[in-house]
Amino acid sequence: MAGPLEQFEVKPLLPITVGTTDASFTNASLFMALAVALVTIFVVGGMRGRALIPGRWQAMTELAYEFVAGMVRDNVGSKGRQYFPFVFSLFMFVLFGNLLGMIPYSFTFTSHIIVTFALAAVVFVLVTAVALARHGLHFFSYFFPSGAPVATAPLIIPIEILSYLSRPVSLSIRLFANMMAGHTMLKVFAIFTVAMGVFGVLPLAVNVALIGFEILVAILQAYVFTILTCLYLHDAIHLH
Amino acid sequence: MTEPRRSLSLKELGDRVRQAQHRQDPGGSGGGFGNGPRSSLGWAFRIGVDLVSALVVGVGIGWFLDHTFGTMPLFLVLFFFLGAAAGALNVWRLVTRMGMMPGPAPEAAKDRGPEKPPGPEGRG
Repeated sequence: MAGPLEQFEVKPLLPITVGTTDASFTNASLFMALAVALVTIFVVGGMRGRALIPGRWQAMTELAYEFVAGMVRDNVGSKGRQYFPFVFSLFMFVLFGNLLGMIPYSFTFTSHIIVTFALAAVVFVLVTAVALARHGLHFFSYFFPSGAPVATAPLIIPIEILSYLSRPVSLSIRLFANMMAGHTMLKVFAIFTVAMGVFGVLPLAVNVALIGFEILVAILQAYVFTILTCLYLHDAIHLH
Repeated sequence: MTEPRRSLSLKELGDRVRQAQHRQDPGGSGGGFGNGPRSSLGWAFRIGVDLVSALVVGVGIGWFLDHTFGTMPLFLVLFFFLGAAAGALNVWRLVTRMGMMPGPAPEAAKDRGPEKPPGPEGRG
């Protein structure tokens, strides 16, 4: 029987080697491409009609747009509107990645820390670039709170820098750990169901509840990832 | 529309444009924290991750510096404690932002939105 961690295995589907680097098209790549394609279909297809009174599909698309736009407005402020396309793409990509993983036999690319860390690193670099572009060298005052005695600077500055550097780590660990833990748990209970014969009904019932919970987690974690991006953008624009 | 149709004056049009713009973009600097309902388990998980991630970064930097300069335990120990402090700082920031801190927390009150005056109702 397959182990509970086998579902996270990356399998090359189309072996490609660039120089000495393995750049194969894997099942992770497939599901990322699928997520991008589905988001594009969802948004472009939903808005094709441009009806004044939206149909079901268009209403869903508008709901997604309004949700992210409201999030950016409430958390970044009016200056954050220009970053809306980035935040929206990020939210939809993570959301679809999480939800695609809920389909049986599919692959959850957000359960790999390298994927979530790459996303978080993009956010981190962008936020730092925005802060530097907006405030120039004044940005570095972020690492030393005004009013603190200068003598404490050797201690405070490294701590603040470490706290700043820990952002992408905590952002990526949060998403990855939630997705991986949930999917592992689903698989463990599925193995119990098979192994326990008639009494497998009990873990099956647990699994039904867990799947509902996992769908909640999939949406919630996409939301949390996005809202933290918004908060970091807020910090970058306003420097506290 | 019950009122009779008439052409709007430029001033009225300007007012309407401003109203629509304000609806689109009410201004303000934002900074409100995610105000959806949250489980305490979710908070516990967030705080735990924030605490540990700074420690991980600190130890990582310390190990890298030691590895580069061949001073094995020195920077590892130093950055372990700095990372632990940064983790505590992360948690302090998070908890203050949640408004769960007793005593004056002007930054938290400011972050929770401009319409709310700082007061005891923010404490939970």
